[in-house]
Amino acid sequence: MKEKKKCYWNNQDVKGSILFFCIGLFILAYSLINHYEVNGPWKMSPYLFPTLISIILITLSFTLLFEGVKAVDRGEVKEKPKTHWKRVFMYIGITLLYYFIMPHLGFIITNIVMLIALFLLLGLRVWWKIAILSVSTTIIIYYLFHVLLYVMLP
Amino acid sequence: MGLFGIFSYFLNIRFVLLVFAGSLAGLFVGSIPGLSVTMATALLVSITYTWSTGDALATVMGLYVVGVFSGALSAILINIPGAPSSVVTTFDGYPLSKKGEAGKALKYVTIYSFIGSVFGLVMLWLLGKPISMIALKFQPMDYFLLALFGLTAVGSLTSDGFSKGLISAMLGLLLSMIGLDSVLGTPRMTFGVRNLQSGISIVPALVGLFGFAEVLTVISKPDMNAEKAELKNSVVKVRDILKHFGHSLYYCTIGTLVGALPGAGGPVASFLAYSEAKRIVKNPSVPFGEGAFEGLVASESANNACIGGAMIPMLTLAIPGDAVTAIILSVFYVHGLQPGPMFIVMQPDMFQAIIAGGFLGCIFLLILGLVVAPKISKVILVPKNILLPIVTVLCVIGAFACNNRIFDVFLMFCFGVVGFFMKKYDYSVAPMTLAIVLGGMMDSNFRRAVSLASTENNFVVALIGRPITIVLLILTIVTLIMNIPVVEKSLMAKKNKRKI
Repeated sequence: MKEKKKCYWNNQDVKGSILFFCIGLFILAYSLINHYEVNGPWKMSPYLFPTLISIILITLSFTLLFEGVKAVDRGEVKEKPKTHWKRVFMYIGITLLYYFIMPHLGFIITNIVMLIALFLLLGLRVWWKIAILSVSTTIIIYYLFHVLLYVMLP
Repeated sequence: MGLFGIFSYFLNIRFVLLVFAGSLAGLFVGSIPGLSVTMATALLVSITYTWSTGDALATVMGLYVVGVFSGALSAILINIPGAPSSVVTTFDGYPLSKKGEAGKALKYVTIYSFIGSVFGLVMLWLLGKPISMIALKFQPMDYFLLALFGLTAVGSLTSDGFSKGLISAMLGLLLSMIGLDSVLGTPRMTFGVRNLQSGISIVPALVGLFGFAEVLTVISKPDMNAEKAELKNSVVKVRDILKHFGHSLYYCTIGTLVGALPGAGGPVASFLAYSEAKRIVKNPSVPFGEGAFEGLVASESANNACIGGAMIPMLTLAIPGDAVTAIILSVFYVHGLQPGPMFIVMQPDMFQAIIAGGFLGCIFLLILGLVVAPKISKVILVPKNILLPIVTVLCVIGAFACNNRIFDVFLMFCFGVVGFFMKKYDYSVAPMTLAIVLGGMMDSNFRRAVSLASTENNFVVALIGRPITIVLLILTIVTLIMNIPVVEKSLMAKKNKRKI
């Protein structure tokens, strides 16, 4: 019987190990270049510690690779729960939009608009509920933090 | 010493009311992510400037004791630690909340926070001087190794693989390197971004990695709205809660000792206590990380015992043990007091006021924790599609409030996305958090240690030849070796053989 070909690339640990190897290598190169540009002794160098960490990270990426390869050899398959990617990306998109718009429109208006958008995204459909929740939450937060606690709001 | 003097404060109604006011403020501020006890204490300094010293100390002590405890409330209910020292509480507290046992978890947390706080204060009262002498013996290399040991111990706490835990810690250390170098003052790893020059603040990182990441994790589930939160009305017997008392004393000892080390503080203490709990508790109620009460006991006993511990070097050596005690020190200076080796002898009334304020704070912690906290726990019954957007707004405010910087909100979102992917691929975010907290301290102490040792004849002996250093080095190496998969497997096999 023909043996099924092992595919190491599908293993998350193998993919992760490559990513961390690249990060480690980048930081190592960055630290060495910057250290030699400063041209001071290693003992006082700001890049001594990042260099050490990057070496440890590269070493750890190899151990992760080893673990991933062993898992594939043993035939282990991890079942991942399904992810609602569309909702996640839309949620991140709305919050990022909130971040960029807030300096122009101010906290109160942006916050009410963001809350309405997020409530709708998460499946709330009753309009009066959405309106009351988004306005009251914003007002309560504004009063509690800004008026009562003198906390600066964005 | 001065037992009568301490109890006389208990009869002073004004003193008791001021401690209560501080405790209420502590409960409120500590449980809101982003509003730290440090920030609240700093605000109090300006308010109490014109007050008498005793009044100021009463309010500050109430706020400090209850504020440290209340960080656990949001950690348990919405998986956002109110403070870095409550990170470990999320490990078992939030799974318990998901199971509908938030009320039970809050009772455990209240009682063991009380025990931890009382233990720390008793140690401050009885053993302040000897403990501060031990803490003084710590050299830069010892601080570095203690933090390294903490990080390696965290690696063993992660549920899926030691190397993943360590990778998370290393990434956290790299992130903590961003900003102006503390020794030379030059920008490091900022890649030309001006906003990064002040470094990565811990609060946006914490709120993002725990709070926003959790929001994204929940909404990523296709059946998000189908999951209904529940709150079981379970009665917990005091006898059941107190059966962990023996172990908690051990965690309290860890907390007090770590608290006495300047700069180490609650996060290290709770991580170390949690890793010790995993080692010494053979049969937890459920596995650690899945809602074990033993985990809550370890975390809360240790981080609250830090309160007394952190005050030891502050009162006896004028060296603050953590950020809050640094601010309390400023209260002392504002009111013309001079902490130091002679403080307890020369100012016994003020020392007694601190101890009395602390003990009263502990009593209010118990009352507020048992009466008010269960009411707050009803927050988890709010439907997720209403709760999550509100939590997102709280995350934004929490991230912004620490530095009044809009860039921190952006950082919080970034950490949230990173935390979401880390959770998705089984990388624990806790080691990264601890590493961001400790990174700066590790870097400066390591360079100081290397620099000092390079002036000695024998570099290696000067660096790692001292008894404390050797002990910490051995502990770190043993933790590393014990967690190598091959060694771990052979140890497990041996254990199983013995059982058979």
